[in-house]
Amino acid sequence: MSKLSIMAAIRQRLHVAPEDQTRQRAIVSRMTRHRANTRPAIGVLDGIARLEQFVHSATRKGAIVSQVNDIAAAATTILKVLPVGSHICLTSAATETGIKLPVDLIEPWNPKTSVDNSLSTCFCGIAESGSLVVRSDTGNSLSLNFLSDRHFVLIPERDILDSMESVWAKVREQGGMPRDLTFVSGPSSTGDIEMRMETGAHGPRELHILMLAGDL
Amino acid sequence: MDVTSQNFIPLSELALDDDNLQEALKQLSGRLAAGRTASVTELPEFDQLRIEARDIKNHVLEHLDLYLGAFEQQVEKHGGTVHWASSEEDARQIVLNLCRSVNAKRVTKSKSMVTEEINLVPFLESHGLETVETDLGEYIIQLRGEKPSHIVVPAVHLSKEQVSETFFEHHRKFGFNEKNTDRGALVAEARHVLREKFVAADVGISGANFLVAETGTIVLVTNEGNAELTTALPNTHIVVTGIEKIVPTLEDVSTFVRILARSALGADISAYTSFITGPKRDGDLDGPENFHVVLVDNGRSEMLGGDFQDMLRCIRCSACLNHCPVYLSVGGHAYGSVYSGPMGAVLTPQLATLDATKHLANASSLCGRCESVCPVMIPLPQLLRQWRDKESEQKLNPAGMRWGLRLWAWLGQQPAVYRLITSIANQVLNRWPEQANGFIQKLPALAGAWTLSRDLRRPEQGTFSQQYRKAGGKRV
Repeated sequence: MSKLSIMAAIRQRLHVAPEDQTRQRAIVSRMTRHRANTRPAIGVLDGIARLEQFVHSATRKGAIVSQVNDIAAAATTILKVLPVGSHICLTSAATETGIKLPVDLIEPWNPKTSVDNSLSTCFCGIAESGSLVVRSDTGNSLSLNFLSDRHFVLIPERDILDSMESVWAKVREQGGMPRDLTFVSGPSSTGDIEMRMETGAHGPRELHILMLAGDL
Repeated sequence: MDVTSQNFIPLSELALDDDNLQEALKQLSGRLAAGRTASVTELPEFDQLRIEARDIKNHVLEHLDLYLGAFEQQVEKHGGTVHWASSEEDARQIVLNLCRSVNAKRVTKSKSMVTEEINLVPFLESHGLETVETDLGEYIIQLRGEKPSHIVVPAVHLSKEQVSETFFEHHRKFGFNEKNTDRGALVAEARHVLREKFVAADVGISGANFLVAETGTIVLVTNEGNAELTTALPNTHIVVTGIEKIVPTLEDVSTFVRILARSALGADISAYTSFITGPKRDGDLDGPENFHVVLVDNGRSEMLGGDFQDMLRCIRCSACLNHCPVYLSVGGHAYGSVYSGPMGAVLTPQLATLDATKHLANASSLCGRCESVCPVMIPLPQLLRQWRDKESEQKLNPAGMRWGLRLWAWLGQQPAVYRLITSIANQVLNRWPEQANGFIQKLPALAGAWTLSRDLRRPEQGTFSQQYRKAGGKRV
C-alpha cells in the first residue's frame, strides 16, 4: 500500500514516531489559529486609500474600471461598451441584482457554452492586488467567467477588502471554502510566444469592473 | 525519470550556436529577470516574506507526514479521493486507471511539471487517450514533440516563425489555411482550436502549485485561464502533484501568492489564482462530479532529513533559471531533464541517477545569483557542491581530476610550499613570451584550455603575500 510506505519513509527519514503527540498538537494548533504572516503596507489600507489601491492595481493589470453611483449607471456603462448586435449572458446572481438591460440583448445561460459578453457578481475584491474574488456556486458559473470574450463584474465598493487575509476571514464566516474560488486579476493573457504579453489566451479578452458606490 | 543529461556537453555546444535560442535567452533575462527586480523593489516587505516562506516550508517538511494526513482527511470530507504514488510508474498507472474507470476518451491537461517528470502524456496517448496540453507553451511543444526548455515558459526557445510553421502544419484540419506570423493571431488560433477541446474533454488533469492542509484545497496559478477550463468543464478532475507542495493554512498560502508571481514574472499576482476544494456540490452550476488528487513521492521522501532537504522548499518559480549565467547561455534542453537551470541541476540527480547527470552540478561557476533571488532561500550553490562531493566519493569523475583535487587540498594546507609555488608561477607568468597589452594569450598543457577561448590577465608583480610584506604588513 503506497500510502503506508510513503508515510513510513517520511517518518524514517525525519526520525519521528507516529505516536508522537507533540507533533500532532503543533500542526493542529497551526491550522486552527489562522495566524496571518506579514501583510505588506499596500494590504492594510482603509477607506479612500483602499479604493484607490484597488483601482490602481486592477488598472495596471489591464482591467477597465468604471466607478458608478448605482445599478442603473452600471447598466448604462455596459450598454456603452457592448458592440452593436452583440448579446450578453447574465448569471442568476447578476439577474437578481435587478439590473435593467434590454431583454433582446440578453442571451440565456447554457453550460459549457461560449458567449460574447457576460455579467456576473463576485464574492469580494482585494485592494492589495486589484483582484476580484469570484466563486463557482449556485448563483455564479465559473465557466461563464472564462468562456466569454468580454467579462463584466459588479462589485459594491464596500465589498473591496484590503487583502487576502480578509478574504479568508469572510470565507470562514460564511461556512468555509466553496468548491471553487478564483482571484481574477486582469484579462486572460499569455507570454508564451517570444515572452511578449498577449491578451485573450483562453479566458476573457476584456475585463470590465463596475464599482458601485452604493449597495447592490 | 528519463534524462539525456549525459549529453550535456555536446548539447551545450549546439545550443551556443543556435541563434534563435540565443535571442530567446536574451529576452528571458531582459524581461523576466528585469521584471523581477522591478517588482521586488516595489515591495519593501519582500525579504521578510521570503524569510517567512522559507520558515513555513521548513515547518511543513518537519511535519510532512501529519500535514499530508490532514490534507487527505479534508479532501475526503469534501467528497474527493487521494491516491498515493511511490514511483512514477505507480502515478501513471493510477491516472490511467482513473481515466478508464470513467470510460474517458478525451483528456485535457493544464501545465504541471510533475506530469512532465513522470512523462504522463505520452503514456496516456499510448493507451489510446487523446491528451491535449492546454497551456499555450506546452501545447506548442506537444505539437512539435519536444520537451519544455523552461519550467514556466516551456516554449521560450522558439521564435514566432517556428510557432507559425508548427500551427500551419497542425491546424489546417481546423480550417486555418494561412500562415499567421502575428503573435496575437497565433494566440487567437490556439484559443479557437483548444476551446473545442476544453468543451469535449471527459477528464481534466492539472498539477497544483500548493496544497492547503487546513481545507484540502488545491491552488492553481495561471495567466491564461486554461487551468480553470481544464478543471471545471470535464466531469472528472485529476490533480497530479508532489508530496512537498503542502502549506498549512490559507494565510500561509497568501504569503506564497505574494512571492510567486513576483519571482517568476515580475508581476504582483498572476491573472488567475484558483482555489479548488473537492468536486461539484449540490446546486452548483458547474464543476466536476469526480475529484481525485494523486500525491507523487518519486524520490522526494528520500530527500527529507538529508543533504538535499532544502530543495523540497522549491516552488518552481524559475527565478534561478532566469538569473543563471549558465542557463542563460545554453537554455533548458542542454540539461537533458524537464527541470533545468540551478534547481534542475540539484533536483535531476535525485530523480534520475548521479552517474547519468553528473555534468549538471559541474556546469556552474557557483556565482550565487540563484540563491540570492530564490524566494524560499534555497542554498543552491551549496547543494551543487554537495553533488560534486558525492561525485568524487562515488568515483564518478575521472581519476586524474580526483588526484588533482587532492593535490590542491594538500597544497592548501602547506603554506610554505604554497607560497613557493605561487611565487614561481607569478614570475613565470610575468615573463611569459606570448602576451600583449597585459594579457597572456597562450599557455601550454592544462592551462591551454583556458587560453583557447580567453586571454588571461597578467598577474601583478609579486604574490599577495609578497606585496603585503613589502607594504609593511605584519603576520598576526
